[in-house]
Amino acid sequence: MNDVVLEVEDLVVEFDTRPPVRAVRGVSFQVRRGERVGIVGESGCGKSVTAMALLGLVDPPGRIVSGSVRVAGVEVVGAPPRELRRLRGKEIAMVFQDPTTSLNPVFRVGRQIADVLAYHGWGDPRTRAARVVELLRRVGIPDPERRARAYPHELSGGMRQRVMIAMAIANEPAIVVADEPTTALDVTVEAQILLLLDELVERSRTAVVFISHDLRVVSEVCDRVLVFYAGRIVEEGDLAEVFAAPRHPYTRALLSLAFSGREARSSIPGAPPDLSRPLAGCPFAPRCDRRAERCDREPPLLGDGGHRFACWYEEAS
Amino acid sequence: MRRLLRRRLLLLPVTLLGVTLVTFLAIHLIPGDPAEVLAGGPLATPEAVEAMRTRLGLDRPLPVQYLSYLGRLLRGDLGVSLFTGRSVASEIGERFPASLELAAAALLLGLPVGTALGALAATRRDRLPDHLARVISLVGLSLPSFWLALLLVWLFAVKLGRLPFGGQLPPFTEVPRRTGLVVVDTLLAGDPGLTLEALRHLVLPAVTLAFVPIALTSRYTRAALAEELASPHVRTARAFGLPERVVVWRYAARNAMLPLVTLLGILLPALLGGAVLIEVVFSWPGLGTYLLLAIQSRDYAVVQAVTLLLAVLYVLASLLVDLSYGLLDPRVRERG
Amino acid sequence: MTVATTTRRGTAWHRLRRNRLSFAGVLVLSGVVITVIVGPLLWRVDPIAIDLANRLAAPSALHPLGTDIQGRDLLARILHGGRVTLFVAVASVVVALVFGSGAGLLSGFVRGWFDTAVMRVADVLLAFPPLLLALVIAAARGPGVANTILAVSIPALPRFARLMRAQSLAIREREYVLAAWAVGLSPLRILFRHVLPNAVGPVTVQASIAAGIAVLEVAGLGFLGLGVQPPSPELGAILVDSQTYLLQQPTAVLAPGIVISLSILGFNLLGDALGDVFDVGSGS
Repeated sequence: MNDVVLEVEDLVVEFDTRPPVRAVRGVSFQVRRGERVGIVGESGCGKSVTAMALLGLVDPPGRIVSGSVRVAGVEVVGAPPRELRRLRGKEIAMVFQDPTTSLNPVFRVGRQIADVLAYHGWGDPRTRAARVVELLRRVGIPDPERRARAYPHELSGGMRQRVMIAMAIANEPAIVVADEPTTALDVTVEAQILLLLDELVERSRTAVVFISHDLRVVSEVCDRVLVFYAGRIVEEGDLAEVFAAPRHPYTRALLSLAFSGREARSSIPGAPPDLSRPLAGCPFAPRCDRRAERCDREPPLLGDGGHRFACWYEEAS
Repeated sequence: MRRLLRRRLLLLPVTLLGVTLVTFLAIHLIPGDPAEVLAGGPLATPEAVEAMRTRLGLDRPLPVQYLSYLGRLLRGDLGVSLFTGRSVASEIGERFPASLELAAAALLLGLPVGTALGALAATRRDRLPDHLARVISLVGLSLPSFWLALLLVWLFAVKLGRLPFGGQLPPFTEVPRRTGLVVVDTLLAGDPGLTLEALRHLVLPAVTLAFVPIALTSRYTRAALAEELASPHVRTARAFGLPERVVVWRYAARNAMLPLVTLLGILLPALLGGAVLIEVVFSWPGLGTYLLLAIQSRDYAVVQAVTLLLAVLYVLASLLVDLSYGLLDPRVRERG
Repeated sequence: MTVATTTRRGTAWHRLRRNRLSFAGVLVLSGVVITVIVGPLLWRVDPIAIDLANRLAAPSALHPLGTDIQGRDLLARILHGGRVTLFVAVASVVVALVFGSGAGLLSGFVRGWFDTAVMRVADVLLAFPPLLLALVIAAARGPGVANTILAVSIPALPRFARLMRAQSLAIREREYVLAAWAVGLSPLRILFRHVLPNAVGPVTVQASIAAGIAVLEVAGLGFLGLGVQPPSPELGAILVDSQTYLLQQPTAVLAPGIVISLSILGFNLLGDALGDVFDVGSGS
């Protein structure tokens, strides 16, 4: 188990709103070195909150109620700010959805990358400048010396996301969390960025946690996939296995939507449950076409093994 | 932005011309005939008044008078005080430094205090410092400056006897005039005791005048900084483990400074207008008291000149503020 | 997701707190207004009756706030003075609102040379610090109620004009207005049916802010002797008079200042509250 770089155990995140919303309801998973794990699910299923929790960045009124997140062996939950600061950007880095707003508009991009190096004690100003150029080159930015002096608004959306990725890999972290990194970009740029992420992982053995609502995107970059629903993992397994033989009805529904070839963005009928209430049975039951009586009473448990899923129906069959 | 600036620059002469028209017309609506006043008041003979009118050019048609007014302005001639007989320009030159000193002191006091207050509020949202800053800002904007001045005089000059009532220096003291800024002049004269006195005289009026800047600055800083602190790029900075002080004071503050520059443009009229009232309460020998005296004595050349000067200063300062905003924001700077 | 939830809760809580403060503001303002309207009816003492035997009397049952240097009852003077100050301030805002908004509305609707002319005039008026402009106009026109209203309303004109112009420009491009044009509705109908109802919110907010500034200017002009003239009591004029005997009769300085401050505070808070209600971004 030495190569486990991220270990999440029974993570529970709640928002102290009125009424309180329990957005993440007992999530456990592991990520190994160099592994590419996809987290998929509809919006509001808790995937982004989980991502932020990995960095200990759940802002009030949200808070981690219980559970544990260990990044490179260090516990994040309840860690003092100094400890967290040392982890963020060094052991675990994040690529955000919208590169336009996620970069500071009034600083040159090179400086923003250099700052990430500097505040984690990397080198001196001169070596940092060289490193910034090298990083920009590595993420495929042409003419990196000049681009380092550009402001974010002078770059295209795809270039900005490349800058974000350069920032993320600057300190060669064990894990990069990418939260919908291509959603704000157009399709051709999306493909380039995905390819880039793929190459970087191959080369550096950095683990990637890739969060997306889009199964097709996940299928292009990931080895393993976690399907989130209503704050829980409902299915987990190797990408090929899950895609070839999905066990959870929700996963099936998602897959048939994603690969139905229809351009129209249809969705699964019904809505996810209200997360401010306790859930008695299976959270997907109201939308499920194989719903049985038991599904309303008892929550199905996520099984064990390489391909896990939480469904009574599949259990019985 | 550049287009906007060009438009503003093109409109500048139009606005300035309008300003001269307003100051010119306002004076011609003053009740009472300056010719009569100068000729010796109500007892003057009609012939004497008529002669004075001719001498002042008041018998000519208004458009002609306006054109000659403009002509004189272009030559830098602000006219002659009807009462002292001295050039208005040189009298303004004597008075201006006092006003400048007061406004500068109020800004030097108001901007840092207001910024600090607003920053404190923004970083401690919905906690005690935030509520306190809000109350201070509300009160600061609601108290009339002249009343505040009276209260401060009452408390510090009368009750506590710690600070002087008014003026720039103790009675019968003088300092060789070099810059006209008394604090600077006393320093140049090498008289630290007198500098201290000058500062003691400056405290109350400056504090009174600083209330509005403090209130406005803290409001703006709070809003701007709070917005920045909630922005995605600050979240990025945090997610990459930058220390909180760097996140707040470099990453967020730099962005929040931009709207603060426009704030200066809003502060200027408050300072220029408010200063008139405060100067009067503290017998501060600046443009405000000069203007009021001129109004009371119907010295229309002076009223015209001071009003014009303040308006022109204000217009130019607003333009400067807009220009500097463009320089500070790289997004604006490079956009066509 | 985290951020979205935070903001939603943030604004709700913020609004709640703001509303409580706004509520307090409305309460303060109505308190002041009711006091100066009803007060003089209940406290029927002549505010200008001189009683030299009772100069600078200490507060007592007969004179709850004491008397001034001429023995006039201070409570009566402040009640009447508050009435005058508030009346003049509100009247000048009404004048500015009517003429400023009118000019702005027309200039947005008619456009062309009229628009250019109105906007240039607005530029020129905005080139003066408001209090200075009021001061010069007051000086030019002489003291008195009508002239003070004029002096205070003119600096407020351009803000209303710009606001209303923007409103009518924005609304005339909306589809339902274009549709109304297309079916041949008269411009006047469109104006009253579509433009005005939409503009009510922002204009009310602006009026409230302007009222606070107007109170300040009315009192300021009175204080400089350029506003409403004695013997008619006005808070600023009372202040300038009473500062000379501040030591002997502090209430004569405190009370008028408190009434002025509370009125301005009330208008400011009301402006904030209305800004929230109509969802208009107010400066802060």
